[in-house]
Formats: sequence, C-alpha cells, structure tokens
Amino acid sequence: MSDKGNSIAPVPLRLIFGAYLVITGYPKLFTSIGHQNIVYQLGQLKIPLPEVVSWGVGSIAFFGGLLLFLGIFVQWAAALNIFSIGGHFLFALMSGRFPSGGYPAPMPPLNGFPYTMPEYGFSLLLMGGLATVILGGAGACSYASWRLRRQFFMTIVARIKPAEEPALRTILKAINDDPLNNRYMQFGRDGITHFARIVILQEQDSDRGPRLIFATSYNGYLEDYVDALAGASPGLDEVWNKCEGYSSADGFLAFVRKYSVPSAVQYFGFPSATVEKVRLMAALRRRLERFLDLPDVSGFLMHPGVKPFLDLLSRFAGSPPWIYRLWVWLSGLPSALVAALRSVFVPPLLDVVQAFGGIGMNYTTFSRVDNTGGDPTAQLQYVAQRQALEDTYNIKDDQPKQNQMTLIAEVRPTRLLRLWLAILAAPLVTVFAYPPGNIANVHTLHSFAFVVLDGGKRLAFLAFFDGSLENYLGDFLDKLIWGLDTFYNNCYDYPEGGMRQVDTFVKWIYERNRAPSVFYSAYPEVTVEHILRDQQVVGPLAAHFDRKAVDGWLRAL
Amino acid sequence: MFRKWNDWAPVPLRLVLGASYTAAGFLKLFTNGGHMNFVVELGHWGVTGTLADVLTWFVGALEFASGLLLLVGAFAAVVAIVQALSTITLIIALYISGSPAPYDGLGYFPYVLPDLPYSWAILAGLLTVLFGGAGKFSVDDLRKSS
Repeated sequence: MSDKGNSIAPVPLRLIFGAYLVITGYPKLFTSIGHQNIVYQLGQLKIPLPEVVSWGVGSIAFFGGLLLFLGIFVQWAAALNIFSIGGHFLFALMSGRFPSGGYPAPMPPLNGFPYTMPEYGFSLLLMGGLATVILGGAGACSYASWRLRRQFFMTIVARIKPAEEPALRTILKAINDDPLNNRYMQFGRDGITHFARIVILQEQDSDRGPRLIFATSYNGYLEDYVDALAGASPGLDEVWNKCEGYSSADGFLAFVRKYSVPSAVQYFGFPSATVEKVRLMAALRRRLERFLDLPDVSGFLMHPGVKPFLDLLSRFAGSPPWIYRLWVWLSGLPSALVAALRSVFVPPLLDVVQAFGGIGMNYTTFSRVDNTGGDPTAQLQYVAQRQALEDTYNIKDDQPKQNQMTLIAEVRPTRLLRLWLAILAAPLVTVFAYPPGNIANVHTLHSFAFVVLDGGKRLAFLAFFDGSLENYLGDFLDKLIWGLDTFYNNCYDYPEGGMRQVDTFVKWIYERNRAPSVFYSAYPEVTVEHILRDQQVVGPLAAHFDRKAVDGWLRAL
Repeated sequence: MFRKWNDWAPVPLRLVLGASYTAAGFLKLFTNGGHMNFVVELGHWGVTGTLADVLTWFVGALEFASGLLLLVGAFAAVVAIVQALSTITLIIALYISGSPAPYDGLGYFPYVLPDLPYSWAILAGLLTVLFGGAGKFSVDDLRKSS
C-alpha cells in the first residue's frame, strides 16, 4: 500500500463513481423529463416532499460527482452522496419488498440508465466506495494533491512544564547556535522546512505559566512533515518532554495535531515553491553569476556583445512555426487574464479594506505617515527616537538577510467579531490580489500568518521577511498602511491613528514583539527579490531542457 | 481535510465487495435457482449445455472464494486482479450483446448479473483494492506486520 499522499488507489473510484454520479445527476437537474422522473421515483419511495428533495438529490449527485471527479473537497462530496444514496436505500428497504423490489422503475416511457436508481447491491457498493474515499482522501491526479504541494504553516502552542523553562532555554540556545548539527532538532536535515522559529511566551502572553510557540512553514502533508521533522531530531524527546501533553516520539504526530493552532490568515510569497526548488534556482543563478563575472566573459559582453550573435542565429533559425507561437500566446493568456482582472478589481477592493480598517480610527488628526513633515532636524530626531526604542525593547537586527516577527496582542472582546470579519475577507488580498512574491508591492515578505490564540483572547502575527525589522516596518508604513490597522485596531492600546501615528505605532509593535529563542531559514541568503529574479533567469533556461541533447551540442562545439 | 491514503480506507470497500461476491457465488453453488439463473444467463451469449453448467460451477466457486478472501483480506491483490479480468470480460460482453433476461423472476441482486454502470463501479472498486491493499483487519495486514 502506498503511504504517499499521491496514492493512486482512490483514483479509479473517484473517476468512475464521479462520472456515474455526474451522468445520473445531469438529467435530474437539467432536463425536464429527467427531473419529472426523479420526482416520480422519490414519490414511489414515499420520500416526503419529492418535488423539493429531487433538487437536492440531483444537485448532490451532479455537483458531488463533479467534485469527486476533479478531486475537490472529496470528503464532503462523498459524505453527501452516502447520505443521498443511503436515504434511498432505507426508504426502499421500508417498502417491505426487499430483496426483489423496493426501488421503483423509471417513469414510463423512460427505461434504463441513466434513469434507473442503483439497486441494493449497487447502492451498497457506491456507499462502501464513497466511505473509502472519505477515509483515504482524493489521492493522485486531484486538486487536493495539487494543493498539497503548496506551503502550509504549522503553529504548535504548548504549555511548558513548571520548572522546565531554564532547561528548555539551554536546549533552544544549542539549536539556535547550530540549527544543522545540534543534537536536538536538525532543521536542515528534514529538507522540507522553509522557516522555523521557537518563541517562549512569558506570563504577559499566557494565562498560566510560560508557553512555547513553534511555528514553521513546509510543503505537503502534515504527516510526512512531522515524520521528517522527527527523523531529523535525535533529541526530540529532550525538547518536547519539557512541554505538557508530549509523551514520546511515537506520539509526536498526535501531539502536533492536538496542540496545533490553525492559521486564521496566511500568506506565502511563493506558495508552490519547495525548499529544494528555491535552493536549486539560487545555486543556478550563482553559477551563472560566477561565469558572467569571469573577466573575458564580461569583456566579450561589452564588446562586441551578444547582439551580433543573436542576429545571426535568428537569421539562420527563422521564426518559429505559427502553431508554436499560438501555443506560447495561449499559455500566456491565463496569467494575462488574471493580471487584467487584478487591475480592475484590486483597487476598489483595497478601498473597501481600507475603509473597513479605518472604522473607529482617528485618521483626521494623524493624517500623515511620516510625521516629520520632511524637516531634516525632525527626521534626525525621529531616527534617534527609533534607535532609542530599539535599544529599549532589545530589537536586534542581527539577521542581515532574513528576519522574523512574532507579535502577540490582546484582542478587545467587543471587537472579536470585527476581527473575524477581517480574517474572513483577508484571503481576497493575500491569495488573489497580487502575483507571487508581491503583496501590495512589498517584495520582502516570504510568508506570514495571523493566528488566533486562547479562544480569541490574543492575536499572534508570525512573519518571515528579508532585511531588518526597521526596514520591514518601513515597508508596511509606506505600502501596507491599511494592512495592520485592519487587524490590530481590534486590539487593546492600538494607537488611535494606527500606522499613521508612526512613533506610537512602532512603540506598540516593539512592546509586543517577542524575540525568538530559535530562528531557522532553509535559504538564509535568498531574498524574495532573489527568488523573483531566479524564476525569470532559470525558468526559461530550464524549460524544455534536454540533458542529452545539450551534452551532444557541447561535445560538437 | 486532506488526508493521505491510510490503512482504514479500503476496509468498507473490501467488505462490501467481499459480501457481494460471497453472496453471488453462494447462490450459484448452493441454490438451484441461483445455479439455473446463471446457466440461463450464459445462454444469452450462446454458452449452453454442459459447458454452461461447468462454467457456472467454476464462476460460482471463484466468486465464493474471492468473496471470502476479500472479507478476511487475504491475497486481496490476486483476488482483485482475477475479478477485475472477469469484470472486464463481462463489460465487453454487455457492450456486445446487452444484458440477459433473468431466470424465473430472479432479476435482482445478488442473482442478476450487474449491468454496465454497476460493472464499471465494481471494476473501480477492485482496482482500488488492487492499488490500495486490503487495509486494516485483514490477513494481508497481519502477514505484513508479522
């Protein structure tokens, strides 16, 4: 049996059962005679309100079948169809004509498939197969398996056992000092973790004793990731038995499931990028850069340059056939369409978000982001104040390329509903509004998540970004002014001018920012800008790459 | 929401298929109506006389054994291959000359031969058992873990 998420096992069930349900559901919904037939059959089964129920039966079969076929929300589609088929089964049994009858024949003059109802044996098989899909998932060749290649956040929040905090801190320091070769958790060895942090929350963020937040981003199935993490952690027990609820490495997955907190909002700069892919692209770029840095190459590129060579090559090669050009044009069409839709819908969407975030804020008094007004003396004072703030709150910018932010704020209970409204609307911006590597024209964010803790009492913001915290906040102030206001104006003591009240805002942030005990990045030298450029440089090179042909070409040179 | 294939998944499917094959085989082997029904159905494709009788014993024994093996989850992959081939043969036969008429009013499960949609569904189920294994509560699982 395959233990991989892309198991082929459920695929025949999904495709054949899905096709059957679509074919039988279609006439129930979209043809007059088919609809009359199902109303007639439901009436014969003595199912109440057959006229109403028929629409439900048809919709469940048709749309459920479609979802099964494509592998989208298959558990829901399967469960609803079990409910529908099982309902018919029970009413047929109650007719008292089992086993030779109970299921009504199609309404005359209709006869045969797709108008017949599945009889006892077929119904049992359908329900058994659908139960298998519920338990086993969609498997390979499905939307679900495609989606699982994308990145996810895992955020574990666990209470630290009394008196174990000092020992845990010692272990975490050892991990942070050498994330790859320490004897506890070797993040680099799992090959899946993009970023990880471990933060210890003290009394002010916790109702009863200190807590540990372990937040990581990874690709694929949680089970596979936890397996990989455990495999790369020789001292798994030593780390986690300092937390309540942990028993042993065998129970690590159960522990993770129990203490994981889902992300209310999440953003990934490159949702489908894997650690391996990012590292490979960076390695290729570096090799190219090294080649281009050779003195002779740069000399050649300056004079005569590649243009004469390309001119000659294009004269020899001619233009590609029209079918190829059509294919290139068509393959670029979806992204062009998405870009056009974004240009139309995103500006009004942001207006709405900004208006929503501004409710209850005092934007009249604090109308400017930069409250120095361009005065050099005031700007110098401003910089000095910021420096003093950073010193006060021990903000260290000792991660030159990448950094993290862990912000814990207390939510005002009266604003909890409003916070959830913002959370529900957020995917419109984080998922749909901007292309990969870009959110509101900020090109420094690898990923972030908002996590609601303690039943809505606290809101955590967990971000991984490039550069210093100061630059990061600067990006927010310049380009994402509506972003944090929308969420944090639901929290205690948030400045009435929000991000426009810069000094108070920055102070508010620093007060709630928690320094990590462990910070790990799988590609510490690779910024979001790098990945964007790497995709442009490496993508066309790797497209249609044929190693044998290239080797032959190089030998012929 | 998105769970990977696990050992519990094939269990409901295996049990339904196992029970269905056991019932269908039992009727062919141990009841006169079930035996005659299949002999008459074979006549629809021109198989008559002793050959039809022998085939009925053979198919009945195969189905009965396959059903029991599926129920206990032993040699599930072999059973799935054998029955998938048998189902493919039935599908081809149904496409060529349609379904036979039932014998003596026995036109219902588990006497009647599956029609085309039902046969396709059986094939899908058998392929899933083939690719996914017998799963929990099975002899195959016990053999694997011992």
